[in-house]
Amino acid sequence: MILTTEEILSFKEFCKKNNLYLSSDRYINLLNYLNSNKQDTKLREIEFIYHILPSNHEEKQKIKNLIEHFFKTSILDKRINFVPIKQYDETFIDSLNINNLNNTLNEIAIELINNYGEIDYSRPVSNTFWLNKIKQTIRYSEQLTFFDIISDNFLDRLVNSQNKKVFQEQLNYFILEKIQELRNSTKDAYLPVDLAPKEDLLEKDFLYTDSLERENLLRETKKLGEILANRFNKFSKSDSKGKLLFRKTFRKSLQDGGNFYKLILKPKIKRKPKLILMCDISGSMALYSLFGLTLLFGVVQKFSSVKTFVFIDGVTDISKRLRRAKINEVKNILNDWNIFVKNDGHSDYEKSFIELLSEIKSDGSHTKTLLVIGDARNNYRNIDRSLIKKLNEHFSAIYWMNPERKQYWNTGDSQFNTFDDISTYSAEVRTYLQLKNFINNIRLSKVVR
Amino acid sequence: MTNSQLDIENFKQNDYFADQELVDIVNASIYLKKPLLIEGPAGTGKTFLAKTLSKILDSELIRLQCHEGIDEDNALYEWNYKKQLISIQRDEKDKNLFSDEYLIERPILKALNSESVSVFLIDEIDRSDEEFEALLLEVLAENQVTIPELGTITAKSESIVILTSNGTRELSEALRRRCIYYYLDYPSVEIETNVILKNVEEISKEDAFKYATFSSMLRTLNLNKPPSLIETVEWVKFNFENNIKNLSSNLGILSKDSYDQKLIFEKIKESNDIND
Repeated sequence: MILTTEEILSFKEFCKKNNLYLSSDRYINLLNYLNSNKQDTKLREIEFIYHILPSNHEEKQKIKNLIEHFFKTSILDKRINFVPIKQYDETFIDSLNINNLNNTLNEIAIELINNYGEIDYSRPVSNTFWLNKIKQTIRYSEQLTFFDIISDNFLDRLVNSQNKKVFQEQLNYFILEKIQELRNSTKDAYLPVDLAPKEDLLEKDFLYTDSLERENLLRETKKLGEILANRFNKFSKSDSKGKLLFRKTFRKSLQDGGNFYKLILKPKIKRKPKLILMCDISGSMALYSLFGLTLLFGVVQKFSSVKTFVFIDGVTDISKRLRRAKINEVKNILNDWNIFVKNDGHSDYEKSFIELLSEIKSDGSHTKTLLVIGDARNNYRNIDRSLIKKLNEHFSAIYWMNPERKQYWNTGDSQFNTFDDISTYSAEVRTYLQLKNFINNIRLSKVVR
Repeated sequence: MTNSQLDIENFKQNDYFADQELVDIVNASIYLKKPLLIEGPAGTGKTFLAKTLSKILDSELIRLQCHEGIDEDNALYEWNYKKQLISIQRDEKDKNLFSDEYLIERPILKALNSESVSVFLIDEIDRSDEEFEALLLEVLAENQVTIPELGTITAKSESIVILTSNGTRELSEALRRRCIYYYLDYPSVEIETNVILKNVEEISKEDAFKYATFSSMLRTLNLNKPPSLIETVEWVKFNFENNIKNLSSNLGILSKDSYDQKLIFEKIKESNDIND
């Protein structure tokens, strides 16, 4: 084994420090495997840390970042394959050949760094800072002009843009490697070893995501909605299966001369689910309403009889609209803000809940579970205690996701305490992981009575 | 159990194009005798991996297809009530009604009783109920199962257990902890190119790569249901073998959602317009 046990144990500590707790038996498995299966290089052994330790997709992504930070190496770099198209000139095609590619990229990286001039490694900035500086130079853009081709074939253009993207990613990687090498060989250089690992997207506040990150997170949020719907669906359906119907079994046995060859069981009775979801879309909710709506969208897509509402100063049923919508259209709901304003456009939880109770009663269903996404900021309006009592009587469980930081709950016009008293479970939800934990913590056994 | 390590070539010879990461994970799972839990979107080759592995190892594939409401009667064992009743009627007093003779083996028990190494596939575990997961824990961790009337039955040989999940619900930590985990995402352009080359007659590597790039680009479009590997291959096969050059043709093979089809069509049109 090239990696030492001490290194693996230090990595374990490093993971703990970065809030990734993995059980000891996983490390034992890893050590067992590495001890008995000799790998050629340290990098290959590090790859097995990534293979054996995580137990879900999120852990896998997180551990990849941590490995990069701890071992200063990136794992699982896919072999790059360029497909030359006829518009490229021959020398360029030759340089993209898999055997020449590393040399080509290495040469370009050195040339670009030299062209930039003297890099001051004593400055307390990361390698990425210098990479971004180099990317701003004309020489860097010139390296990509190979890909400025004209073609009337859509697939050619597509492949070209793909080639360009991969080439650029690889070039950036080589530049960063070279910068690190130079930094290491420079006296008095600032070594950014103590910089925190890259912030995990799954733990990033929704509010601070860029458009690409947001798109990815919204897709994952929709999946969480589907997971929630599936869990709920199972609980509401499995109510009465498997009971023996003695009378029918007995009668059936008469056909076989009194032998109980076939047992007749009570059929499953599909009961209508009793889940109500509501999301505050007032201004104070900012971007969190979009994530809330996407979660609702995911639930509705899987579980069509769920009732979903948005509210500001009164509720509006958007179940039908969500059912027919596509994921890209969810944000359009927020654009139709004016449709959902019933009074003055400022959040009014009291009025919204009163309307909700009457809406639910009017369709005759016996609602049991309520999930609210909102910050409980009521613009200094009163909330009548009798309403809270009614809510408590009406719903067997109330789950509340509050996108506001916990330290601000019950400050200013927030009346979260009032609702928290009757909530089965409430939590701060500002990130994907918090959202996932929230959904995992919903105890559905309380849902169906 | 196989002692030698599998490599990419083993999979390739059986028409499965795997990357090194997947091969490493399969090797680790076999060596550590831990079940392999594979999660990922539908149509990425999770079930096919188990089938391929059984071919590579020349072993029997025992499959347990999970569904809602699956219980131990469907998965583990069942007593043959009819046979038991007949025995009672015949007054066969010397016979033990709860013996192997009256036991109907379901896939889990079949896998445990298998004399030779087998690949035991527990397909779409996420479709089953949480109670069923608990039933599996003993099998996955100890390779044994307890039948109240018969006692504990231990595996006669070491099966390779593969669990697949589409992630429609979160699996319990207890189950995950007992497995080696792998997320099988949509294939890389390189793998998809190889699959197209394998399945579409007379297509050049360049064309196969272009179609694979196209398919990979579609999966970034935020579609309701991104095209699976098999859908892409069928679409390319049909279009290429019928000499249909227009990418917007037969989108019904590639995508089964009208909204997605519209989005793909617009993307192609938009790109053509920019060029014009």
